[in-house]
Amino acid sequence: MGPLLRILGIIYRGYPFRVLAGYITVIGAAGTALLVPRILGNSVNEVLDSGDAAVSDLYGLVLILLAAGIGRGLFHLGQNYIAEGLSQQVAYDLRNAYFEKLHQLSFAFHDFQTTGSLMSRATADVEGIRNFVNMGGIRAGFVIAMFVGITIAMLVTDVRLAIIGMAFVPILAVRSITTSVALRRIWLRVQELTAEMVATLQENLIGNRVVRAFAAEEYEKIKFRVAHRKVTVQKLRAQKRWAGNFSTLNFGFVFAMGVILWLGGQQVIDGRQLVDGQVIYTGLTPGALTAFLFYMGLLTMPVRMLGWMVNNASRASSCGQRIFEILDAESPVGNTPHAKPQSRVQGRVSYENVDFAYSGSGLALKGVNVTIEPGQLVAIVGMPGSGKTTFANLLLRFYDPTSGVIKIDGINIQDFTLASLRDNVGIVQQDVFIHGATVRNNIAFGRIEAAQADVESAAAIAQISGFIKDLPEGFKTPIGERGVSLSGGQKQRLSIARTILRDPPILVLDDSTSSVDAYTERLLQDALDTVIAGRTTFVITHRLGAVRKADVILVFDGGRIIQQGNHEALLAQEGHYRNLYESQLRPHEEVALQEARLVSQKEGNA
Amino acid sequence: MTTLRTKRHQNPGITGLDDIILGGLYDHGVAARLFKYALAYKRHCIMALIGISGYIATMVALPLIVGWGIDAVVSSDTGNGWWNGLDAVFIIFVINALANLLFNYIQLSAMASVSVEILNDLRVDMFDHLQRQSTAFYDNSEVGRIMSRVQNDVLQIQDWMEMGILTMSEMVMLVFIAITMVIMNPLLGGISLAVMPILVVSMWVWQRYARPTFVRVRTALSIVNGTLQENISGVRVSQSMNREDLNSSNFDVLNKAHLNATLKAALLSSIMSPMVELITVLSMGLVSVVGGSMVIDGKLEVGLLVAFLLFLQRFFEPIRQLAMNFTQFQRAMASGARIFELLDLPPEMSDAPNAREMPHIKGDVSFNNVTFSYVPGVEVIKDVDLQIKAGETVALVGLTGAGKTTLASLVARFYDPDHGEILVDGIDVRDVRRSTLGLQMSMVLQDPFLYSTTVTENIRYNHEDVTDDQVIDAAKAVGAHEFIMNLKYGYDTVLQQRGGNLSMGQRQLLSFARALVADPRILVLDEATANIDSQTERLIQTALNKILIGRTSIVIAHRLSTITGADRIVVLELGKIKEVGTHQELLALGGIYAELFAMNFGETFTDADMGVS
Repeated sequence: MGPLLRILGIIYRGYPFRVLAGYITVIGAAGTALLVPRILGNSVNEVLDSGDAAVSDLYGLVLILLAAGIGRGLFHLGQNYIAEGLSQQVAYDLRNAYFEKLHQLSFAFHDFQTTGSLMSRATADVEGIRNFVNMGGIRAGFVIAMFVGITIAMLVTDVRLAIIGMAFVPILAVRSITTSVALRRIWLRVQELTAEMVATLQENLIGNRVVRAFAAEEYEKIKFRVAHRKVTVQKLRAQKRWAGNFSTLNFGFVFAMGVILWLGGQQVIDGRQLVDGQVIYTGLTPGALTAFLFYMGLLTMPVRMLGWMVNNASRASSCGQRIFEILDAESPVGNTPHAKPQSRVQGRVSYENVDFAYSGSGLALKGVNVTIEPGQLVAIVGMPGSGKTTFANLLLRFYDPTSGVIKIDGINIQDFTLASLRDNVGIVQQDVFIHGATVRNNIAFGRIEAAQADVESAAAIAQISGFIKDLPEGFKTPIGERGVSLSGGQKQRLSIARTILRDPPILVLDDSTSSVDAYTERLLQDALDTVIAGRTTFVITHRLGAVRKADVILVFDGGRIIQQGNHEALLAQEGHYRNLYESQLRPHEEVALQEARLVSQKEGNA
Repeated sequence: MTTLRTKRHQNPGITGLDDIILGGLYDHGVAARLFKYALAYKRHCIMALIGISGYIATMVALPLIVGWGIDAVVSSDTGNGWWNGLDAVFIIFVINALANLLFNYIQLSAMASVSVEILNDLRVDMFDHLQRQSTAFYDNSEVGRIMSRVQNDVLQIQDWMEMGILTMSEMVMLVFIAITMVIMNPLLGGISLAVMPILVVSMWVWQRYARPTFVRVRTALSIVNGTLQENISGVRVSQSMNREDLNSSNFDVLNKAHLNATLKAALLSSIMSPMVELITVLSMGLVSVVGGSMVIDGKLEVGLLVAFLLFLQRFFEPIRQLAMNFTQFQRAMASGARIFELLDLPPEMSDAPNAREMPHIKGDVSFNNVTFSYVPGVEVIKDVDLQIKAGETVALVGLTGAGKTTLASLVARFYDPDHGEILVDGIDVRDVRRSTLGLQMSMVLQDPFLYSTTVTENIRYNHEDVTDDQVIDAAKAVGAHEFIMNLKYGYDTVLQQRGGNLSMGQRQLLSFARALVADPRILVLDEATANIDSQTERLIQTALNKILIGRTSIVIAHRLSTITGADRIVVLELGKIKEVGTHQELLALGGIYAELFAMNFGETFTDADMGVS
């Protein structure tokens, strides 16, 4: 109920005039709709009145009928347009708010979300709420107005017949609602099964090489058949149920009409008297009976809509819950009250007693203390899960430390506005995101107004100019989903160019999971050399070349910095770095050295 | 035969029709083929026809019976007794209503069954057909687009069938009502129908005008959703570069464009109501005046007048619906064209008609003069001759684009060569049934693909006869047992999509276990390039050594340090074999391999050489 009231609150408070206009058109539409049966009934009486019956009397009625029809049509137009327009407006507002919120929420939020589930909120859930605004917000008024109006109109005409007619309504309404609820349950089941079926399909397509490699086509076919048959069976169940309900509901109305005709007809006959050779009706008139029959016809729509509305409301309730949950989420990271925009920093970075834990797990960083001087190159090494990337993420306030302070040029980074902090610290992340746009706009992603010359020089520094030159349209070539697809190494260099263009005094390169061939590795190495000039640079890496060049190597293990110093100093110590060097870094080097010797020996012999 | 094979690799995938939103109103090719699907459910179709006819008949009868009742009421012949004409009318009315209930149910449930079953059949056929496509097809088609055909396009067809048939039956009803009206009273019938052309013409004009607006709404929405999705995926980069505000204002522009399109569409579709309303009351008014004066003159029973008014109450509704559903029909035709485009792709991986069963193999593999190209004219593999003896381990080495993966893929018959032949135990792989060869070989891919099912099912994949114990043995053999037992439900743990809850190394080990359970004679191994921690790497090395024993193995090496122990190393450059030999032999040769090797460790090599460190 909560989410529904909130949705209603949004429209009543945000768009009171539109809602009011909506209700006026609703009442107008119901009122004019109710006029028609009455006029038709009067015409019937008129033509039966054998006394002074004249065609001219009909003209007046017909004119009123036309007026009522036009009025009803216009009110309907107003109602549809206002209800649809308001619902689209709310959907628009929600999408914008949702979009902004997602951009505010920090990594701590996004770590637990998949793109798919966030998308389904933006599409299916927003649509659910939109339908409720349309149906529950505006059209519900029409249903109520019709019920009230028809009841009054029938009661005014004939109390007994009205009671008989209305007696059908609760029965049919309850049936319509219960079936809707039951159907919703089956449809939810259909959705679950559909999701499983889709997963089977998707895995088959993505994993097509596995399927081919194992010649498992028949096996997959059976898997899919079974998954899809489950969906089909539930769908058939739902459809049968719907067909049963729809046709009995229809029957209910038709039957009610029959009963009205029969009992009402009897009433007309009973009250019929012959006075002076003329038939007069002392009880129910034939016209009133006709009007009753038309009223019953008018009731069909609102009763059917009741079922939809109940469904719609229960769906909107869960949709609203999911959307509001996100809109209400507080980002743990935001501008602090005393945050100020800071200008360009020199680049001295210090971590003081920094602890950090991801929500729901143990400490990922423990008592980290380190100071880096401006312009230094820092290599961060360690096993996966040792805290390297976490260490870097804290510097941009993607997360805030659980305790301890991080300072840049002696200023707590929480005293920077987020924007000025992130202008000062650039990061090249592990997962490179390619925007479906031109190469130019991808490089200028963080500085869209950048001059072409700047973009080109950033590309040159990142060693990707050559590749771009070979593209059919150079910098204007579209890349990403519908454009040219890039290899891992190309993406990474593009990402470097993107960050370089922002010219941050502090730079973080997260290179820990990249997998590239020897040629690309060489290019990346060259890129690194040009990039680090004049900046404080952190490189998370397993490449020996970068490690060896570093002014400081930070060795991470279990969330702590267990060693720090340059390559020679660390190698001289007994410890983790030496082990790491032996097991991960050195084997490559050693093999190469040996072979180099071997080759030179052989060449020497020859 | 040769030309056919060459064509295969030109596979364009399914990119052609994706951007077409609307097709024609009626595409005979599409409709005829859907009709064939419907024919599989003859009984249901006949039921649906019976249901529709009965429903129409009872619906047409209803106002007539009501009119009859009114006549009984006003007729002076009707007495006040316990049984009169009205009672008879009521009984007939109830019988008609019950028949209406029955026919309506038959019509709705039969139609729903047929459309749901056709949906099922279409999807299954598409899925089956997709299994017959070669890897070339998947190389050229985005998974999302294929998915959208199997999911959304088929749903469009189902909607079209349900709604199309309902609309059609309403139109048939309209015709019957018109005929009935004309028969009952030609003058009144004629008057009622007189206004129809106005409605039809205005609806026609309306839909011509409204259609582009509806299409614009769809396009605008898909842009909004596409942008949203992209921004969600890129939110971390956006935050790190302060793009939040720019993204939001860009999004607002698109969102607003969609809002404006929907408002225009809302206005357009709302305009229909007053039009139908006006026509309806106009015809009712005309009938009242003309019919009324006929009643007064005693030329018409009042009951028939009421019946006419009842007919007219919902008479014009189907035309409105037809106009509203116009775009839906066109969308369905476009969807149908996409579905059949997919189903009409030549099945690439079907076995030759006379394909035989592959006997138990030893594992000799030979490439004889093999040439292969993805794009005609650009040969990726050129005249490769290579004989691999059973049990031998051969490593393929070369730069990116040298043809390593392609060559290995040819053994697994991901593709067929343009020229030349690939023999296993002396038998051309194209002459045997794929499934019988496939069961005797395994391939471990660079990106170990896992399914969102249990660990056991992932290892057992495609070998239903393998027992749980054999699964555990295989896991133990590759060193995966330990971490599996540490998972929450051990072997029964359901993996997340693509094995998301496992590390890369663990996924790799599971894919080894899968390959081992298959107990293949030939193993193709695309070495993992992703960074894995050194402990797992050692595990993997040990596992590999176990798996390779006694099998013919083709290893695609990305890190040269791991394949120095291979029986033979084959160096490829631009699709040609340049060097073959052991590690030592090739280094001594001082050719490409030696150079590659130097480059792989270039940094350290030069440093060491210069005596820097």
